[in-house]
Amino acid sequence: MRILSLRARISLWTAAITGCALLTLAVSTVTYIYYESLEAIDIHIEGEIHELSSDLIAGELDADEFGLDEFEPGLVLGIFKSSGEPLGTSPHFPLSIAEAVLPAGKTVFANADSKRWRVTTAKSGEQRIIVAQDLEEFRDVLSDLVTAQVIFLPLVAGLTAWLSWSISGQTLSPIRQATAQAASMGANDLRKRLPVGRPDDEIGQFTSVLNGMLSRIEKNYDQARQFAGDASHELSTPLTIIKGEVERALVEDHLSTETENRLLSIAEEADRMNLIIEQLLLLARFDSGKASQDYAELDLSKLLLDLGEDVDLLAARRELTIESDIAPDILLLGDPTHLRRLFLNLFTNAVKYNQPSGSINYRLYQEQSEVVFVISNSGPSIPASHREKIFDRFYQVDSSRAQTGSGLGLSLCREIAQAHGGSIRYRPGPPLDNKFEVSFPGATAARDKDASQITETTFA
Amino acid sequence: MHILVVEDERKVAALIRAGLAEQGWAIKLCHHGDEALQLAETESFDALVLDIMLPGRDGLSILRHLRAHHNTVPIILLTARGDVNERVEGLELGADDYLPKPFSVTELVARLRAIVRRRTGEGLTVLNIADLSLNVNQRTVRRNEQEIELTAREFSLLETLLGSPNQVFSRTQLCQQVWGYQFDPETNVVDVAVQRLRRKIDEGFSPRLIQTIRGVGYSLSYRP
Repeated sequence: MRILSLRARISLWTAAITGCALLTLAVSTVTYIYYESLEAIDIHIEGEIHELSSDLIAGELDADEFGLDEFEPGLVLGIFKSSGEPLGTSPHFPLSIAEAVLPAGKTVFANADSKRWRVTTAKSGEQRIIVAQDLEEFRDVLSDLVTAQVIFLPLVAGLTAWLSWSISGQTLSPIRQATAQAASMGANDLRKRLPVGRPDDEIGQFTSVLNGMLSRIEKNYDQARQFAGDASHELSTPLTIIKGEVERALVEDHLSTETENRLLSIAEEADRMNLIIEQLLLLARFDSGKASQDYAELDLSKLLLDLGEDVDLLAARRELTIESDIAPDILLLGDPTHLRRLFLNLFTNAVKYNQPSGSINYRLYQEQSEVVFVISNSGPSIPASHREKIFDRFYQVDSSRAQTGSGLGLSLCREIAQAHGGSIRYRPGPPLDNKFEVSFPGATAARDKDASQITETTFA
Repeated sequence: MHILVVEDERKVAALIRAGLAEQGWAIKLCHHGDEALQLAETESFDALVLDIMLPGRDGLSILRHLRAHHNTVPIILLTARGDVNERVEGLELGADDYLPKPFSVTELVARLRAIVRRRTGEGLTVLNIADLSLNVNQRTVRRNEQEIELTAREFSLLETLLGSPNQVFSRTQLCQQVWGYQFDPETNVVDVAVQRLRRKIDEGFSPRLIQTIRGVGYSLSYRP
């Protein structure tokens, strides 16, 4: 089950508490009014009966002449002989009341004429006096009161819920903003901070503490990033010396074959180290956001066509078959040096991890609003367990085999693609089909160009 | 040629001196920025090799000062690789070229030759060796009066080798100068490219101009 939001829970709880309080109040009010009103009625009819019986005893009241008028609305009286025969009653006196055996001197409820009554009885000599109050009005008043509560209570509870919803919404809005801000932050924009709102309240304090934490993370991240850059930087001087000394030693005469081979091995490893340092520095620049220079519009189709000779050179020794299909006039905003590196890295991989006399197939095309470059080679497929990690730094699928690579090529490809707003993916296929797909957004410029060409021909 | 080398890292400085001395050039070494500026202002050099990170006055500051005082001596900056800002700033301040570390001394020699040649205007458009000539502007190559068709990479490769005849270029160096991209050493791209170039300019001609120096690289030289 989905847990309700804090805001919804606050509103519901407020409404529930208000509802309970109002309900208790309503019940006690109605009960109080019921008993108080009933008591008032009782006092009234008991007073009446007391007066009547004193009058009867004093002989001031003749049963014959009395009772024809209703002296108060809803109030009736009757005088009966001990045999039960009525001596006199007021006009609407329900006779069935008299038939009920009513305890003298007590005030009770009774039903008669499909009405409810409050009845009191008194004995005066041989005569029985009954005074009854019709409870209809009393019940009307009570039921009106209950109806009012039934309507009023949910209304107030609803209003409370709405009020608390909007107040808690306002109170929680700094948290919502902070959440949205934090969600939009990637590793590369740790410079952003969460909005603090009112710095003195609980939420303000909370976001301030989080911001402090972010500052520390940013500092550590910057240090790590700076370290990679600095380390590669510092390594270039010793590497210059190693390469220089080895090159000088190699051109000396009278070297034994063994010494020469050792020197060659050193030179080779120095070159590899050089490659790693170059790529590390580039990665460090991408990390710090310094690599994104001012991008200019370039013809991606032409850039790839120009690389055709290099692909040919790369593939020559392995006698690979190359097929390519490059759509013309595909324009892109980008850095040509970085893009060339991206493609050459992919071409190099396609050659290195291919089988002898295998094939390479690459295509550049436009698909809706995307520019897509796909390259596939006939090398053994990358095992599923490695696919997630091939773009990670220093990751190599076969660590025992691929000794000449740096393990940084594909992570650089990914950085370059992302710096251009694009992405790179490995597309699993059948065995002996390795497919990498790079896609870039945009290229509306290419369509605009086509459009203007059409216009030109029309008006020419 | 008289060249001032300003580099605070003693071992690097020694390597540069050894490499340049082999060319028969006169070298003056200097390890401190202020000292370097004083030398550059008082003595006359054919070119300066200037490291950017120096004790005292840094390389860019020396460059700025010299250019502000209308000293037009050709200058090559040694920069940390990857520092695009430094590189751009250096060129804007009037450096003739830059070489990112780690570099190879042979490459430095080639660059020095190139900037001095550019200054003197010598061989600016046509490079020659034996009966081979390369026209930089027209992008044509002739051997023994016969026009040879080269691809873009082959032309660029020949232009690099021909820029410093007799000098040995390593594969890494050729990668950097011709492609501007460091190929995986396993791919043999440079060897394949040199092989193809050799087929076009050496096969059927005599003598052979492209020499293989085992384990080191290639050079273009005329040995009749």
